[in-house]
Amino acid sequence: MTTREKVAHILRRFGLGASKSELDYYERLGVDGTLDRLINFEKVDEGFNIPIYTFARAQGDILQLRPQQVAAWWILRMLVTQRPMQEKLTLFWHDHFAISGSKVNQGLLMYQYLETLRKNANGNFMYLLRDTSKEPAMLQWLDNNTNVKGKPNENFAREVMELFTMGIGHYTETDIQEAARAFTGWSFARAGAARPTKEEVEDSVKNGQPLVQFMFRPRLHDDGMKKILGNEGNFTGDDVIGILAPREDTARYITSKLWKFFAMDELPQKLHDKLTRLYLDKGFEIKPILFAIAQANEFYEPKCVRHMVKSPVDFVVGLGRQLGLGVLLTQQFDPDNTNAVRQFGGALQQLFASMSNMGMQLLFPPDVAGWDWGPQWISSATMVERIKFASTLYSGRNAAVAAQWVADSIKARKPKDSKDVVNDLLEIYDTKLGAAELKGIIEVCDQNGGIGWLENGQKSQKALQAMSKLIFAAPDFHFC
Amino acid sequence: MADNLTRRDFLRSGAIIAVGIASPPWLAKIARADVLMQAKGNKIDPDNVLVVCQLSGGNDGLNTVVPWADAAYYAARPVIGIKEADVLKLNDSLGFHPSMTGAAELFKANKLAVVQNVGYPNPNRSHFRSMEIWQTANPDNVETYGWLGKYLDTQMQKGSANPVMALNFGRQANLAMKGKVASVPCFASLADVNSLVGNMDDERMLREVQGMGGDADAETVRKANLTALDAMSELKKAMSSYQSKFTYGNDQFGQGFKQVAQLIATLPKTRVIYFSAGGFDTHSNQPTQQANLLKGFSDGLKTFMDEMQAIGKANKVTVLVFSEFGRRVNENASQGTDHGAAAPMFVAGGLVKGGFHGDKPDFQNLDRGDIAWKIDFRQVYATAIDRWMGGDSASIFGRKFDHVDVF
Repeated sequence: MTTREKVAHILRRFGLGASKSELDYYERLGVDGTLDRLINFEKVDEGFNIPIYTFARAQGDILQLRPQQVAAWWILRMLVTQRPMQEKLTLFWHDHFAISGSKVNQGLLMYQYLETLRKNANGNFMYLLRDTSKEPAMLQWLDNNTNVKGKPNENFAREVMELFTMGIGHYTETDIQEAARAFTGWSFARAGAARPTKEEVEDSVKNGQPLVQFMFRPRLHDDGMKKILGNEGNFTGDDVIGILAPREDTARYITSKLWKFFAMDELPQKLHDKLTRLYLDKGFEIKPILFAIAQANEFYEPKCVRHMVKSPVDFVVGLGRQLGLGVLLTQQFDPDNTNAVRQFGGALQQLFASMSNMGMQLLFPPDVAGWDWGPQWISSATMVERIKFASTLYSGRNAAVAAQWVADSIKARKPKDSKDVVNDLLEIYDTKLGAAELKGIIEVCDQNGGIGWLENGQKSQKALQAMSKLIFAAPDFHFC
Repeated sequence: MADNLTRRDFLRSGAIIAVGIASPPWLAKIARADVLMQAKGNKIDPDNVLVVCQLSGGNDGLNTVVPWADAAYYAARPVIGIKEADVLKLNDSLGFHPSMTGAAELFKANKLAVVQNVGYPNPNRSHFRSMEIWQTANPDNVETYGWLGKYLDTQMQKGSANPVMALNFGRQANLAMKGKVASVPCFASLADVNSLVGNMDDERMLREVQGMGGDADAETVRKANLTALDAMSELKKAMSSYQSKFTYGNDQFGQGFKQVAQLIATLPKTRVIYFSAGGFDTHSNQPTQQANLLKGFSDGLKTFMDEMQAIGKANKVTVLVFSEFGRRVNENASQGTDHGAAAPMFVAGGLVKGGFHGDKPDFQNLDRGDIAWKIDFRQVYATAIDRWMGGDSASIFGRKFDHVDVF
């Protein structure tokens, strides 16, 4: 593999797709420089500064923020960010600590939860586990806020072992019952009135001080002795987190999940052992595991490269970044113009809806176990949606500018015929197709005027839509 | 189970109402249905079509089926209550919203059943969650698959699937139709199909670009694409081979029912069609908005039923209409209503037992200010699955539900 090929592969997995501009930039950094910039993202300016409250509607003084709006805002952040790995990891943790807006229907709580995931995304797993467990959204989602002394609710205690740390089969029912007792008294409370005003939310976002916060209520806590996984003591919830995070079962479970998300299903025993040791030896730090995954020989094997089914985020956000949609949208953004804000939100809601139709409604995972990844994304209904996305991209409000941008990029390479045009377009889309598949796309390019459409705005929209439809219908396009 | 429902079962379930108001028209209809079942060896007609029409946003049941004889209704709704003089009266206490003239005609012809006070235990007043509950038929837990998806899964196990067995109209793939194996194509409209395979060459090229070879994963994508293309190919043929002689409105219901009619007229293999229409979340200015919506719905349904009659399909089609919840009994200060609980459901069709099923709304025993449920929506679903589609609702819902006697 050339450096460029390796970097492209890394960007597809540790980023949000290999857009041409990103690929050009990262190629110069080399493989090590690329990994450093992607994984140590706190060194990089994110280049995103549209606060969440601009997405909310105010009814009188009261701010109304729905989880769907938080999701739309997140999509914008994914389109714009210069820290693509931070968002990719946040997505991974959102799937891992899956909370749905169907139950936690206050956008503000979903926002705070998302920010906690983002803040800890490449940090320490123990802190990530602790902070996420204490998120008001999590307390509500798994009923830990109604888990009280004498009447324990085991929902969170079960999931924290089964889904968040060790995985099924590594604990007993007694461990769950005892842990549930330890988590009693966990609750949350709002600073100020029940329904925050726009001003309060703005202040809280600017200061990074969440409005709704974890609260420990000692009188509801069962401080008796508990026996959990062979440990004995009058444990609190924090103690249980401290017991769970360092378990070897947790190390194996988390590293395997990370490998499968970033690399592939197959995980050789030796490599798994190595990742597990790293987790334990480095004190549950996430970064060393990510570097080890990206540096494993297996990561660059042919059976790994371009062999992962694109998730709806890979598909939609990847295309959006390849076409510079984030820049386009933010250029139009004007927080003081209500109409503009609404249209802007509408464009993002469209992407949110497309992704939902493709099977991934962001911030609304199907259940606490998250989504089914890989081939599960593929069904005839979701594929129709993926093919239809060609018209979403190239018709409607921002389509003309996007099409112009693509046409200009292709023109700059001075194509001689339809074949050149199609190859240029495929490069923009970071995809490779066989000769048989290419034939039809070249035919469509011919039908639309060959290189002629590049000069005509309206024609270029039509041509790009027709060609993209076929490209999105090609099986090979759906792998990253 | 429906397949071997005995004549005695059938009469027994009908008898409860029969004792009270033994009215000849529908008794005759029971007898006819009974004969029909006997003739088919007690089998449900395998061509029966179920159309599910979803009213998104929470339709206000009380201003749809108006309890005009109840003073409590007017006390709760001094501004937006439908005046008695305007109500399309159907009996001595209930009547339709004035814009529902088409539906009233269907009701009087015994082709429209109104199932009263439909809901579920511990009603959820969130649009999203309540719709999810209706679509998955599970009020207790968040569920991955929908009630129709599960039905389709069982049909696929029997090997009776085809690319257009179930179709979904709407912008969003519908959870109700999501099955573990069943993959239901979703189109925003038939025009969507046209945009994908409208031109002569489109379908050929989309098939060509599927290519060959590749590994198992590429094969998964290819198969899914070909299923969708097969469906679109059938749909396209259907669209070009039929011209409706009926005039539908240009609103979402008119266009929705028009397309459903077109599909039923041309695709004998289609058994489930789902379409949704929105705008029912009338927190403010309800009177105008709801009048327009209900007019569109009622006119669309009437024209659809007329068209079914004209093409000889009236007895093959049942339409099921629901919304995720009804609305608060008391009107609010902005000429609207807030989220509520139980509401009426409609079931329409040539073989439907028209009239009211269940009691009129009870204003004395409200559930936190909302109409309380008396009939579980899963009873209506179970009835449709067992008695209309020939399925086994118990295996889909995990338990048996009493039927509502609408067929």
